[in-house]
Amino acid sequence: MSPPGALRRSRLAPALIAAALVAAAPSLGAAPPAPSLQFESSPAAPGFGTVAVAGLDPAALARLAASTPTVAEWQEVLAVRVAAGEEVPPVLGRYQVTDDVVRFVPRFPLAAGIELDCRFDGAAFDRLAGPPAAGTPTLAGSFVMPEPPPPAAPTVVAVYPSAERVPQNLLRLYVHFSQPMRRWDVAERVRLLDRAGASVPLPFVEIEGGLWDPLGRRLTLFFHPGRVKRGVGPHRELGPPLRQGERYRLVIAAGLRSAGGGVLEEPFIRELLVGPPDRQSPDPLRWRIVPPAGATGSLAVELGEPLDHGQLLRLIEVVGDGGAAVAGEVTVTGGETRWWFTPDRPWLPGRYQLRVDPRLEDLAGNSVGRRFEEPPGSAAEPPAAVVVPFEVGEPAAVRRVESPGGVR
Amino acid sequence: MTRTLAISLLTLICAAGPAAAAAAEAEPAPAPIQSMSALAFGPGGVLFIGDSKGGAVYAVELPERQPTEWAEWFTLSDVEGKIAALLGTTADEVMIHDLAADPRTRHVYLAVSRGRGSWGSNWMLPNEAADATLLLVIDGSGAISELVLEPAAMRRVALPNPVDAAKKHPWKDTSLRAETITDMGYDGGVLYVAGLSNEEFASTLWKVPYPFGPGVGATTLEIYHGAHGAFETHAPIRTFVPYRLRGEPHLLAAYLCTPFVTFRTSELADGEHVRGRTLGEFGAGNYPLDMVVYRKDGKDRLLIANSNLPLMIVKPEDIESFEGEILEKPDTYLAGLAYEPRSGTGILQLDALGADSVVALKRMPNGGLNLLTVPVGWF
Repeated sequence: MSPPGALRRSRLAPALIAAALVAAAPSLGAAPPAPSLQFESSPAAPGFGTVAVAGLDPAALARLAASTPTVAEWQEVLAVRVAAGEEVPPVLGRYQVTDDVVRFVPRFPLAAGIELDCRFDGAAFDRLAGPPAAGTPTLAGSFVMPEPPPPAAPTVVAVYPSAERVPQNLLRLYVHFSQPMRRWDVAERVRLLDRAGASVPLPFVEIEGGLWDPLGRRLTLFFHPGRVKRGVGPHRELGPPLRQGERYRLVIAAGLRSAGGGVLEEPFIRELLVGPPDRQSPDPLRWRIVPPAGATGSLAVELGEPLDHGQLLRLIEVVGDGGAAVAGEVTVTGGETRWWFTPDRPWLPGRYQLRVDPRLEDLAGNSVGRRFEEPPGSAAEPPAAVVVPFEVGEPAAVRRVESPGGVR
Repeated sequence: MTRTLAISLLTLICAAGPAAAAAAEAEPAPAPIQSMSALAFGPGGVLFIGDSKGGAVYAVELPERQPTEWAEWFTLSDVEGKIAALLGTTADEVMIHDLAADPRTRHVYLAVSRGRGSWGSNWMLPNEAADATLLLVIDGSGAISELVLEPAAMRRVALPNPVDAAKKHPWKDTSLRAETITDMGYDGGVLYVAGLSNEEFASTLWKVPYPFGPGVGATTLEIYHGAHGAFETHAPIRTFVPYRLRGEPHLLAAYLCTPFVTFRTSELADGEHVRGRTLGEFGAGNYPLDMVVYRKDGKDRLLIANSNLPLMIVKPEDIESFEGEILEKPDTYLAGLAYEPRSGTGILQLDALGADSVVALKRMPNGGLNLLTVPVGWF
């Protein structure tokens, strides 16, 4: 386990690919190749993080490889150790032989900043390769794994609702980031400021670590429902978090970290202008359906009011006459007032339905099935789905079916 | 890894359950190990490796080694740092999932992963954060080497109905699959495997005959958890040892938030649902991590390592003389059987090292992880 004799330490610059010659070899033939110790330090190169000895006698190297050395024997020939200030075993890895090169490939990617002491033992090489190999020099060198480039800074790419004007009883804000974020330092760095720049106290439900989607890219800020809903304790005692006619600023402070360690460099600020409250449920039967321009065109649905962005992406589907969902892509525009559907395959003429999950909500938490402030017991049991029929004609033209839609 | 010192000396004919469902047979050419979730030694120096992700148990014939000698009080400091050198990384990228000592040669085996995965909950365990793929060996000089597992030296047996990977832990948000196997222990021709199955009552104890053959039995488990005031079936046994109480084979087991429970092994029949006997509530907010039985002054003692409580010593005679069981919520988190607390917090892994000492991995105040041997006379 211990290296034969103390390893002479040479400190080379991280990116330098070089070798220190410890013992010169007596020359045997005419211009023998001069072996060199090399470290692949370029992250873009195929052998990044590998250590190679090049310029060896190909015949001797072939004999050595043919003898199928054990890992311990290979480590006698070429040992790569982490410079730990104490005796440590060689790094685990495998040894590859091609032509005049033996290459050490570490089992796992080497960590950035790790310093490696590498030693190629010429005598061990000669012994294991067998005669007539002789006089191969011993080489030693130190290399450092380069630090990776600093992680990219995350940015806020969107906030929903995207329109500046929001209802006084707004229930949620969604903050989308450009990359997965670290989940723990949210509470300290998200603020809602009033017109005077003062922090609105306790506007959002406090959830340890924040409420994130599984990938850590979307943060949901839930206005405290007890403060939004009239007639309950927190609303009476603290009042609603937003007041009609006022302006607010949502501030995500600089310093929020991504999962990869990048830092939000600039504070992100989003203005909110508070309009009247919305206490009505969205009504899909009053939506306006706009026909696709051709067989490959998109279906557009004018919603008449902004609805919840995340739910618009997943709670409405297009269903064919046979009841099967039509595959396609949904986009939402116009400050979440317009819903687009582009089918994966061209429209076929026939009858279709929009199937709307009654859980679909507007910005104030009023769902298709029930209003946010519905008194208990006053609403009918929500339907399983609200269906809006439409037809794609020949050529692709869409008209709203005259028979009324309904609930299922 | 948990094991008894005393039991390994006994040859006992186990009252095997009616192995009606011959669900599994030993496979000649084993599939590769996906995750080394738990280690345990069996007869003749066979090493059992539990693979939660693969839903299987492996038996490995280890290469012959000369026994290694350990100093009575031996410390190998910063084990993670030394393993890091082996892997070309830093100590914080090394995670040790389990430890087992070979009772014949006293070599210490570690299941190790490189990279800590994505930690979410502070309560995640190593198996929930990463898959151990390396088996390392430490000898009495402190030298660390890798043991490359040769397929020809392994036998595999699949566990019937392991918990589905899509099932999530209720508050850690981790896949329950990482808890298919939480601990293993061998006794009398049977490898006992604790963990989670796909049954509605998920906590399961598999009985795997060894040498591997058909007839792996599965019993679902239920316990009364006094601190919660409820019967529970979803949480797995965290650590256990096979042990004979008044001559009758039992499993002594501990759970998260530390109920201490005994099971009569004769009741662990295939397809049955068995309720254990809760004898103690040892404290909340704690993972019991490992159990070892040692013998001192002619008497057996049970040693339990914990994530958030001190080392505990429990006397088997107290278990044998305990009357009744805990079936009501106690006033505090502590109830029933008494334990003797010993200095020894931060002990993450524990196993017997021969008959007269134990080996442990201990998180030190400076943050380093030390491997140490402790003579049982000290306890």
